[in-house]
Amino acid sequence: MTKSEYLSALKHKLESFNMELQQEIMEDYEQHFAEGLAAGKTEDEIIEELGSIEDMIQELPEEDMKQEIQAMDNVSRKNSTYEGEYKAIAIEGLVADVYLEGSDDGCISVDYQNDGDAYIQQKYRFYQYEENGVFHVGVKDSGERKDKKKIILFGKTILSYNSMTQCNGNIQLTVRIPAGIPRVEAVTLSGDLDVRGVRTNQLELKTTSGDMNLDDMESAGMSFQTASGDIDLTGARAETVRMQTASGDIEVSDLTAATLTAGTGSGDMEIEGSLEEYIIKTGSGDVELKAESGVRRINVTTGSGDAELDLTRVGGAEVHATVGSGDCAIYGADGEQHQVTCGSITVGNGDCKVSVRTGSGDVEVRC
Amino acid sequence: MNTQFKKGALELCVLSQLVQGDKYGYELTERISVEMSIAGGTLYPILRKLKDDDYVTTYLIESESGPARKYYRLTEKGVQYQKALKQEWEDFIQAVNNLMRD
Repeated sequence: MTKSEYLSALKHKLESFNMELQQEIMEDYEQHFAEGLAAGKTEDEIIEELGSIEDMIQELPEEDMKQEIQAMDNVSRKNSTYEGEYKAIAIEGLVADVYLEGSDDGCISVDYQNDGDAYIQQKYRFYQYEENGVFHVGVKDSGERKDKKKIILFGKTILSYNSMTQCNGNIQLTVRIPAGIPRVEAVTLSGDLDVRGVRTNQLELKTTSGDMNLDDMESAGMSFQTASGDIDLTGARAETVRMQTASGDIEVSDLTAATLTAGTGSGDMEIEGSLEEYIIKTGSGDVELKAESGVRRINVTTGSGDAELDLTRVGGAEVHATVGSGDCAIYGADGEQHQVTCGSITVGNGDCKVSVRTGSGDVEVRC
Repeated sequence: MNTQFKKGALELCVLSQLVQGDKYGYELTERISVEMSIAGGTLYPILRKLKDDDYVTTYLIESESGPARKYYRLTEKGVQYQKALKQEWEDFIQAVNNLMRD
């Protein structure tokens, strides 16, 4: 075994302990190796002398093991700061409104407030713990589990949840997240999600009936899912963005990304951004999309919803429209109107491929 | 050498070495290994526990020719603890010796 294999195995075995212990023990071992090598020993000799990693782990103090879930203290107000390197942060809001903000001091800070009545205070408990490099924080329901309910869209269960007491704005969870944590995920049931200034690599937000307000975000991958909640995004930079609602509306402005895949059932969509590719689907919701130059592909499919595409800044497109019983009007750059029910028209330089399909919805494309 | 004896006495060995002067981790493992075969790694949990219990503190000294060294130093509480443990040890040895004589 080599030094790096040994240290790697050690690091892995230390994962059930808190960050501070992990760092300290790794440092001790690094120093030990360095001293041994400087004294002329080989890696094998040093490993032999250090002995079994398992045996050493057995001797580590139990108090330094990962923090237990702090759920059962009846805390109604809590404020804490955490240092350390985490590979992910997972936030669970339930009925609480969740506010996520970027933090610039390199630390995670958490603010929890439960201003509900005695029943609410007793029913919902705050928790935080870390496990395997992931920082978990959120609200737990200390009551009994009732039957799970499911939200099904197009034959797929997109969310399942326990029936919950209404709780309007009584519980707030604010988490400040430093840049550099590779993955941020947050889930609520009825709580709203308000996210601004977060910088990460994978951002995943889910809510059932809460609304999402998103601003000034940077993440290579973004995924947003609601059932009846609305999604309002003003300002984000990403590679791949996915959005899905059932009846919620989607409003996007100032989005710069490579691909946006967005779908609603009955919700409406209003999208303005600089993307290369848009893949949009609704059932009965209407779609209003405004694209910028640089776009290469736009796919819009609706059932009974109307589709309005503003491609005036695009410089030209090849538009294929398939319209069932709705009207379809395509305006060229010269203002000239083309009526199509099924077919394709090329306007300008045709670099952007546009495909619009509706069932009974109307279509209007302006180039 | 009997593992149970070793386990019981290791903390006292570490403390007693530190009474003689501050030492860094590698130095301690080397010194103790001269007298008995131990898995060097097992000293680090002991040192950590001593630090958690405030019997020792640590400080870093930069070295030109190598890595920084973390030195362990006994606190006042640690000095007292070593004295108490040493007394317990001597009492224990005496008791065992007495029992062996019969």
